[in-house]
Amino acid sequence: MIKKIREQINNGDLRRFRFWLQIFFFLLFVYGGYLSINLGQNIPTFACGFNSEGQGATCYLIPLQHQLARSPSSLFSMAGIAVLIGFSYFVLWFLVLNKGWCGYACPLGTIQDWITSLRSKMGIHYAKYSWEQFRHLKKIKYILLVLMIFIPMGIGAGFFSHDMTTPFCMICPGRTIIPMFTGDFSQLTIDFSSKTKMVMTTLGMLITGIFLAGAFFKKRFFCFFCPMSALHFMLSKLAFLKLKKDGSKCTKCGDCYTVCDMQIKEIADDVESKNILQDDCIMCFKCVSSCPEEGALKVEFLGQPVFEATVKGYIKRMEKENKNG
Amino acid sequence: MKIVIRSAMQSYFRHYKILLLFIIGLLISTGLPAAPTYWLSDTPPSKEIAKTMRSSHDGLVQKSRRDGTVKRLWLREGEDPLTSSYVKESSAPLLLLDAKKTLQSVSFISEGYAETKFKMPDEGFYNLFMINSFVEDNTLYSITAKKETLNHSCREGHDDVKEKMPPNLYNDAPIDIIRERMSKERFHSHMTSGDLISYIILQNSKPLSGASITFVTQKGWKKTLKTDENGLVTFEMIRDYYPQWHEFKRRTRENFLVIVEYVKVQKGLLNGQSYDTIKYKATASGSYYPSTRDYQSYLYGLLIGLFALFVTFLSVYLYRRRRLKVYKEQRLD
Repeated sequence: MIKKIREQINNGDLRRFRFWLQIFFFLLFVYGGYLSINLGQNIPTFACGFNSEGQGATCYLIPLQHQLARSPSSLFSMAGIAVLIGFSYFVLWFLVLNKGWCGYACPLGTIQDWITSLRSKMGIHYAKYSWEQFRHLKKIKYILLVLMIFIPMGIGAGFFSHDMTTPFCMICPGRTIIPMFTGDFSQLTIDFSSKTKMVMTTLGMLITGIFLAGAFFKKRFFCFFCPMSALHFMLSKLAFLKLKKDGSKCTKCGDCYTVCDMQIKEIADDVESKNILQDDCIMCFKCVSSCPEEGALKVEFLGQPVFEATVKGYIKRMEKENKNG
Repeated sequence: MKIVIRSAMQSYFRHYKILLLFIIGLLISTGLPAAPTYWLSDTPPSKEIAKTMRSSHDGLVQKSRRDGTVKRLWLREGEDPLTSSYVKESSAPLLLLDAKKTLQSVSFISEGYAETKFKMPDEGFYNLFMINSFVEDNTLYSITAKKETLNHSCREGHDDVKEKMPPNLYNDAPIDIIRERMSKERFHSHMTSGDLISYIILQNSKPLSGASITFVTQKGWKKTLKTDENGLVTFEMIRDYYPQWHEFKRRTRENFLVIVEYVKVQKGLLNGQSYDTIKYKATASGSYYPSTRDYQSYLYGLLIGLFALFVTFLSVYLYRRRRLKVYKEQRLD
C-alpha cells in the first residue's frame, strides 16, 4: 500500500502539485486575514505585514527588526528574551519545510514564478548569470542579513534615526507589491517627511522597478539577494525536510543544473555530499523531478523518503512535457 | 359637538404648554452663567515631566518593571486645547472603565497639578470619567470630562485587535461622548487632517438629539453642530499644521477638544438644594496628526519605479543586442 502511494508520488506531476500549492499559500498569506486567519508573526516567508487587511500571517523579519531596535540595555537584559522567544517560534515553523518555504510558500517567489511564466509565454529567452557574476551576487544576501540585524540595533543605540525602523522592509519589493493584491497602493509613495524616509522610500521604489524587470528576465531574480534565504540556510541542517543525493548513482548528465532556477552547479557536480542543499536553493525539487537516475536525488522528511527520482517518473514527466510542447 | 370643541381646545393648550416651556427653557439657558469647561489631557504641564515619560501608540506613558504601563492625565480648564490652564488641585471623583470593561474608582493626586495615574495592564481602550454635579441659582450643573486612551504594544501581537476596537460604554454617564471608529481603524491608526470624525452623544445610554457640540482644534479653530435624532454628529478634521518643509515633523501630535452642551428643563433636588433646570456640559479630548497626503507622493513614487523598470529593461535589451553577432560574409580560399 505504502509502496503504491510512493510510486504514485514519485511518478506524479510535480509541476502541477507545486502550482496548486503555491496558489494555496499565496491565498493564505495574502488574503487569509479576510477569513480571520492569523498564523502569527514568526513566519519564515514574505507574508508581508504591510498588507494590513489581508495578511494571514506576518513575515518574521518585521518583528525581528522591531525587537532589535531597542536600547542595548533593554535588548541585552531580561526584556531581550522576547527576541529569543520570537526566534524560537520562527525556527519551529522553519523546521517543518526547510527552504521549501521559499519554493512553495513565499508569495514573492510565487509572483516571480508568474512573471517568469509570462516571459516564457511571450517566447523571450531567460537570462543567466555567468559563474563569476554568480559568485559575487550570492554574497549580497549575507550583507543584507548583517545590515538587517545591525541597523536596527544601531537605531536602538541612537546611531541611526528612528525613521529607519525596519530598514529591510523599506527596500523590500514585498512591501510595495504584495499589498497591491488587496487594493492597497499606499506603499508606492515617496515619503518626504524626513531625509531618511525620502532616501529609504526612493530606494524601495527603485528596487521595486528593478525587481519587476529582473524577475521578467531572470528566474527567481530576487531570491539571490534575499536575506531570509541566508537566514534559512544557517538553520537548514536542523530541518526535517532534506534534499539528499546518492553520488554513486549520479551520471553527471547535468539535467538537474539545467532545470535549476537558481543555477546551482553543486547539485550536478557534487557527488560526495549526501546533503546537497545549498544556500541559494529554494527546494522547488525540479532537480529531483528531472533526474533520470533511480534514487540519485531524493527528498526526505524525518529520514523517510517522500519524493525521489525514478526512471519511470522521469519518462512520464518528459512525455507529458513533450505532449504539451 | 361640545366634546369635539373641548378636546380640540385641550390639544391646542397642551401643545401651547410645551412650546411655552421650551421658550422659558431657552430664555433661562441663555441667561444662565456658563458652566466651566474642564477636560482631561495627557499632555504634561512641563517639559521636565515629559522627559520622564515615553512615547507609546497613544501619547506619552510611564513604563517601569514594577508598574508596567502607567497613564498620567491632568485636569485642565478652558476651551482652547493650546492655552487651557492646568488645574492645581481637585477632589472630583473619577471612574475608570478599563480594557476589560471593569469599573474602578481612581482619584486625583495633587503634585503641583490635579493629576491622576492609572495602570494599563491589558491591551485595549481605557476610559476615564470625571463626573461632577452642583446646584447654583436653581440650576443643576452636570459636568463630565472624559478621556479615552489606548494601550498597545506590538510585542503583545495583533491577534485580538478587531475584537478590542469597539468603544466601551459607561451606561451611567450623564452624557457620554462616544467616538465612532473610522473604517478599518486598528490600534496603529491615527486621526489625521482630512479625516471625518463622528461622535455619538448618549444621555444615560440613550442617543441625545439636539445637543450642541463644539469641536475645537489645537490652533483654536471651532465648529459647532447639533446632534441628529440618533445623537450623531460628524466633523471633518481640518489641516492647521503649516511649517516650513525642513521643520515638518510627520509625528506632530496636536490636541482637539469636543464640548457638548445641553439644557433640560427638569425639577429636582440635589443634596437638599432644589433646581428647575439641568445644564449638562461634557468634554472629550483627542489627538490628531498631519495627513499622509501632506508628505507622501504617489507621483514621485511611480515615476521612480517606472524609471527603474524602464532602465533595467533597456539595459537588458541593449546587452542582448550587443551580443548578437552581425552577419559577416566569409570567403574561403
